[in-house]
Amino acid sequence: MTSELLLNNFQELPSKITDPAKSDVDICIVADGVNATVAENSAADENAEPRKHFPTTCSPYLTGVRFGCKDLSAFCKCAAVRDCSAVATNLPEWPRYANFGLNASTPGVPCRVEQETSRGVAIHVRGG
Amino acid sequence: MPAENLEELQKTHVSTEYLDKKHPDTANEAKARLKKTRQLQYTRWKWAVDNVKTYINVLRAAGHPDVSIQNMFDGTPLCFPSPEAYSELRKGLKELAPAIEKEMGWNGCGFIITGSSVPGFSQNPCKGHAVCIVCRVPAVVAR
Repeated sequence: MTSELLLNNFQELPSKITDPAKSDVDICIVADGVNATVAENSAADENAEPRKHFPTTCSPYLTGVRFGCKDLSAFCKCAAVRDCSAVATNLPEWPRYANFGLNASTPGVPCRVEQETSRGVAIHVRGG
Repeated sequence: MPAENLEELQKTHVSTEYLDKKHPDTANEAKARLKKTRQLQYTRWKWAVDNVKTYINVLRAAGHPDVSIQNMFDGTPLCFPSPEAYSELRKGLKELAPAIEKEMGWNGCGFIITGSSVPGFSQNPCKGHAVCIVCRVPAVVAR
């Protein structure tokens, strides 16, 4: 890599390295029908979830859009996800983390904002 | 790699800077980057692919242990303590998919894991070096 490249293209370097202590992943849900759901929601209320659209990479030659919800329960029909165990009974460990953005200590209360999606809703997860 | 080299790499290649598009000092640069978000996502990815050896050392310089870096290249995001923990999550998601399909009226439900822990760096164009990493000149000036 030349100095000239660094001078001109430093923003193109992946310099924001994931933090070993507090980084996480987003789980994007991909499914047929999500776009239609989003369109229906938007047609009914322009402020409806999901309010955010994020450009994202899909393949070496294809980009896409992830939908992001500030309030996941406002997007889902299944507000019952407040009790994750009712949706997936075989998740003994992960409801602590992958609890659909709902704080396990205060069931029913959205606790995270950073959920992002690909054609749908998502879960914000920390593995550590 | 010698510790002093990692320290130098940390200074030149690792940044926690964030360009706030609402802050007067960073708004211009942030907006300029946001206009070419997709381009920056791909150029960052390409740099990592084309400079794997350097990139591995950048990850080391950022504090990631070798075992985590290797796991990441093998498919386990950096934030997971082990491939087993990640596998456990994937199993849970597989069981969750039909429940989501049923509840939401969707078909073919699947999951994509994204975020900086997957490739090791952020694709957010506003995150990363805000100044030239060679001359330390503010980005808006360097351009």
